[in-house]
Amino acid sequence: MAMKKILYCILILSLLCVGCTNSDIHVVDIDGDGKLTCSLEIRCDTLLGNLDKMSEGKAALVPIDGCLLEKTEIVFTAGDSVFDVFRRVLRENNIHFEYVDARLYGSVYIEGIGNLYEFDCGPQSGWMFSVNGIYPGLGCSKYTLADRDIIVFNYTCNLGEDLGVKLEE
Amino acid sequence: MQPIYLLISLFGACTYLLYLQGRRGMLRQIGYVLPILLLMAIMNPVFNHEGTTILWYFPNDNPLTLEAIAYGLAAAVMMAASIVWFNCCNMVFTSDKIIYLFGRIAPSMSLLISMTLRFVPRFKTFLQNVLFVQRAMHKPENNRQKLQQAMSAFSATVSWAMEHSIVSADSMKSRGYGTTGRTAYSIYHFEKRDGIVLAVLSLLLIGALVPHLKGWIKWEYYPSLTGTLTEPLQIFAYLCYSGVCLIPLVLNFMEDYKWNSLKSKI
Repeated sequence: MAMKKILYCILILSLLCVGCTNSDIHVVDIDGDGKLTCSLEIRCDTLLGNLDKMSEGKAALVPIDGCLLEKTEIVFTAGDSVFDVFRRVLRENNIHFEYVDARLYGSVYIEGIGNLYEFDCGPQSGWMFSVNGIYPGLGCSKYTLADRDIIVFNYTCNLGEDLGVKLEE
Repeated sequence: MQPIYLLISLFGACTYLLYLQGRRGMLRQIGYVLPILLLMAIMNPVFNHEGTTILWYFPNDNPLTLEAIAYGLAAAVMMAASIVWFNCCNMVFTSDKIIYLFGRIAPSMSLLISMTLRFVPRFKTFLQNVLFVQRAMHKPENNRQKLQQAMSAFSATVSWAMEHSIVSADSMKSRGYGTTGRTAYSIYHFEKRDGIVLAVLSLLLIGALVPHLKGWIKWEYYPSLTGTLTEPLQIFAYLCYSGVCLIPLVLNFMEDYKWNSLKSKI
């Protein structure tokens, strides 16, 4: 009898463990090509019209076409967040960026890309990212990618208004 | 935070400190200041990742930039120069000079400051004396006894300080502090030599400040190290600022020379 009880306990515990440790985030491969791809682009078009509001040194860093990183296709693994892809691509292309771990929001906050920082163009300026045209109200390390996502990082000079931000509620 | 200005300031402060306190005092000062300097110089690149010249990447992918290192060094030098200048100032600005300078404008504030400045070393000396006597009477054998002696010495010093302050207050009241019409005697008068030094100092200060206000000596750290260091106008600015920083030393040297030459004639 005691043996049976122990066996039952072990069975139940193992079932629970299997259920709890199943952390394989299931990302669907939409186009069926056997891998998960997404694209990343970094732009700062809004700065081109506001160069006078920036200091001389910073204004010289704004690229003429407003593009810091052209649309790049990247292969990612299931469970990667926007930030994982972001840091990998920028490291490969040797583009400068700085981020902080914002513990309050439990996510990562991108302060600057290519030495263009938040508040460089006024107190309402900074970086925002959109996935498939919608700006999620999340930190970039909290947004898990799906296959064929199009990520665009944009610089805003007034908290998203100039980008026509549609915040995902 | 122009680098050459910072170096001039640090050099002036250190040489004056060397003159005032000798080599031992200077080494003690370096011992206090150098760790803070190094800490500041190292901390800035760890937390600040701005800059176009990337030297290395931290494990968390934030870059170590040359500009952040340079800015950290500059801030550290500025702090070190300030500390050393204030040390020199402490040695030169005695309480009677403070009272003379600020006596008319803010009499109670200047009196308060000078009394506080006087009080702290006196407290320290009294505490040391009490501790010596206690240890002489009964040598402490373990840490507990040391702590007991320290605590009783501290309480004795605090009660002395309170009684002493009351005695001071009584004495000041009896001598008429607080009533109007009280004058203070001072040995300082504004003489012709003071006027000359003031004029020279003002000219040098203008020569050092105008380039900064006009932007002739502009130097930026972020996003990249930009600025010139050796234009003729800038050299002129450096010379003026060196004059400002070296005036105390020069005045002291002049006095020493006069004193020695007069002494040798005896």
